Amino acid sequence: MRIYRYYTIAIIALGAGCVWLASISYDRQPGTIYFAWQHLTLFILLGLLLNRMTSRLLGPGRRYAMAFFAPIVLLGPAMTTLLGTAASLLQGAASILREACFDRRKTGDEGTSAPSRRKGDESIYQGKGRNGLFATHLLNAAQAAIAIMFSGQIFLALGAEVGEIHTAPDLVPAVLAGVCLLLIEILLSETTTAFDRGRPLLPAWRNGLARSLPVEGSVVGLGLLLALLYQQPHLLLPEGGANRPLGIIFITLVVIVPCWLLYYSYQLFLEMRQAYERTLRTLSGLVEVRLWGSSQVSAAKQEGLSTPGARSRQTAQLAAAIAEQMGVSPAEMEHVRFAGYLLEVGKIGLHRDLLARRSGMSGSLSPRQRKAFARHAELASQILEPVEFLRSVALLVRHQQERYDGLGYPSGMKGEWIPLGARILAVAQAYTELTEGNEASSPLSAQEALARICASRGVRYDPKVIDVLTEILRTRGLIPMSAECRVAPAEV
Amino acid sequence: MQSATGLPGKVYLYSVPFLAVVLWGVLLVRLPLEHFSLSLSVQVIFFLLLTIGAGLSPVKLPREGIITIAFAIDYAGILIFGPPIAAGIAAASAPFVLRRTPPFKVFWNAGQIIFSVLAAGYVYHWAGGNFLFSQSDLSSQAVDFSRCLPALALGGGVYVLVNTLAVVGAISASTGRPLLGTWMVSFGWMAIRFLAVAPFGVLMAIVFQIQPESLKIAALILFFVPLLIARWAFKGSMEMLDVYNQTVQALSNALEAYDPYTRNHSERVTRLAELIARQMRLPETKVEVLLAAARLHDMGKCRYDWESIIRKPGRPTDEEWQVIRSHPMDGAQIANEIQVALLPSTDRIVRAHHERMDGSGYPDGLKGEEIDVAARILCVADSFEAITSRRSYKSERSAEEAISELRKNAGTQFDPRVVEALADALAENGDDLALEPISQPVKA
Repeated sequence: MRIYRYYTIAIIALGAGCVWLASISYDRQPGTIYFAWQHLTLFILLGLLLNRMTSRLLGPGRRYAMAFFAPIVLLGPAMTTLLGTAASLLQGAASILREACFDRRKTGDEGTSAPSRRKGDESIYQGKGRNGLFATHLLNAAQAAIAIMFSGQIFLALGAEVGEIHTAPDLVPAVLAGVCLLLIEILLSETTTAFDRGRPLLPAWRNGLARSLPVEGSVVGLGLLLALLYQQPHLLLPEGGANRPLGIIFITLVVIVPCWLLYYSYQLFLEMRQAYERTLRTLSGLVEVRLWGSSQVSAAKQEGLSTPGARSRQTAQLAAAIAEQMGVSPAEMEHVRFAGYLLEVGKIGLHRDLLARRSGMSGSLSPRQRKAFARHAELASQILEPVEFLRSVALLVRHQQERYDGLGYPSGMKGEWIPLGARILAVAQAYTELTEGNEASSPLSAQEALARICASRGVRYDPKVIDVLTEILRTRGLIPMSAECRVAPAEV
Repeated sequence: MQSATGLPGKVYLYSVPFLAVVLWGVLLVRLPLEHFSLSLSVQVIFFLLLTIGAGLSPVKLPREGIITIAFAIDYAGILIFGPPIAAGIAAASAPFVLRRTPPFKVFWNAGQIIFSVLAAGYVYHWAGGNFLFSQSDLSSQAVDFSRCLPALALGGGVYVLVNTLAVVGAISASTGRPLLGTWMVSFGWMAIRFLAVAPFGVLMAIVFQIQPESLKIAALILFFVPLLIARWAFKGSMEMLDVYNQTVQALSNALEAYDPYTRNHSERVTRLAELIARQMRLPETKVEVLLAAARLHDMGKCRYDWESIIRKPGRPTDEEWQVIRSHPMDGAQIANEIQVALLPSTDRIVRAHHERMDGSGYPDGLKGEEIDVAARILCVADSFEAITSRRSYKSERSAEEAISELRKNAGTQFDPRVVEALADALAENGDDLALEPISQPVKA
């Protein structure tokens, strides 16, 4: 938390510096032909509208700078810095005002039907007092000022002249400045979020870039297009079109509606994926209730054991964490997570007696029965077969029972031949099962569970995966830093 | 499309493309073609290539029809070249967009596009809009689009309307489903979003006027990137919707397969429900909700050890009654949890599928018309399926017996209209309704 505070102060100071620089230098810069109230209104309007559309999509931390690329090209960095900062402060003030109104209304009717705030806002305001709120908005404004000022200076340094794009080569500095603007803005706001929530920086940057670049890049591109059209006076605004309110509305529509469409589709896409994951979780939870029987579920609840749905979620998350640490691609990470949810689906096809024995309620499994039990992985891949999208996931589920020494099911794959995701899942599932316990065995501590898994190191489980698990448990503080996994594979 | 029902449908299907081509030909000949210059033809060819490129990977919509970003390009074409030439360009791209499609269908779609473009173009012109190539002598002129705002909106609206209605007309002519209902289900939800593509077209027409050429190309790239990303994301969402449906189907089948006696219960109930709904001529939006609810209606049972309660001899204990009576609520909760954008929410109907007409049902004790008609249909379909299928504790009975059983309870438990609709539907196409298990059970 302390680092976040220092970071906030530093960024706000830097932003204030940019604004100061802008305020002393703007009248010395050329390109003021667009310095008319109509154009300034238009730019601020575009900035506010674009920000409003993006704030939900791009996550917490508002981004203003991308909407101000056209004025950077047309008016120069100094003027635009002032514009962008003003717009973001304006919006900050508006949202603080709205917040105050909400508070009053909430105390009025005891929060029975307090209007829910928009999702994007909620995550910004979480757990921050009034001072924190002010700081957040100042921080947003400062980020905008920094991004605009720096990229604008780069635009000038590359030899471009403000308000002069007439041939294709003139576009080169503008495009480079646009790239800088994007990078500065995305990295700054991702850093803020990462510090705020105590997350590691690098993955945050990577995710932020992957998520925002297509949309923000398009917005900056459209901004450049707008700037370009502005230079062709007969196109966008013939005969002083900007002086007519309709002209302003027209330009706004022509720029905003395509952006809206872009956001809408992208948002839909992201929501769809989230809903899909939620659905997988719900359905896999149902599968597990079926396997356990509802009486056992309620018994588990009473004894404080985790309920089945929660268990598969844990496996999925742990497996995804291991996969991330091992540096697999985001797509592969998703496969591992989805497979984690679906590991047990195949058990639905097994005989009840087999399941009861396996969970230790009535006798134990004979070797033949153990083999029959292991077939559930194959059954799962049969169930998932109709879903083309889950093909890679089904493959991981299918090979979850493979052993590192090649004595597993169903294919007897050995070592690195087993898909990495399946090796990860095997370890994650074993760990979850050991730490959560079941009817037959009580829950173990993290260290005990790890020791059990280590006993099968290189036999049942991939040593590399176990090492990564050990590292994760260490950083999470679940096992002492000194703990190691050096158990000789004597038994099993 | 080939199996059109009734004469009006056939007339519609076969007349659209021919009429379109004739109309287009007449309008094209009326243009001052002697002014058709080399530079104009170069631009037309360039535009044709763009149209083909834009249409190459169409996005399949969840119900019927496809959507391409070609609308933006078609619209830009209208603004630039005027309706007849734009219609020609748009129609010429049809064979490339609809590959692996029967020739007549391609021809039909080309005709449909010609109609849409012509209608939009002339409405735009009528409302005061101008084209970049003057229609009187095909010379290029500057147009201030910012003065044609109403005309632009009107033209876009007409394009969307004519385009979707023509497609829905074909669907409804070949399936016999009501025109307006099908339109609402298939396109109603996205007509506005479709319309939002129009400003892309306007922007493109503006970009097209940029001089010099090199800057124009660069600007076109700047313009196309967002359009392609929007299309990519939209396509991704539509595919995700497909995947979602498949996954829910696969996993719910697996859940049901756990008990051999209920295997395919939901699938059969869904088919019965559709039969009843079509017999009752329910609005398409309603039918869709009903079918989605039917697929999920018994998921609530998965939360409990249902079989042990049902199979136990003797009357259920109070506690077991509690479980039985709460399964619609659990089902509704699950339906709510797995709700996804763009699909209708089904939780209300799942919740009400054990309500009775006389108000003695559960969980809310709703009465008569208070119960959604979809829930009433689902209730009848569910009961009919249960009576006609074999369970561990009872043997199956014939459809006739089931109907007379339902009739006995019509008015108290069931909606009499729904029961009669089922009886009529079975009498009409009883042979189609094979109540055998549809898919092979998962081997254990």
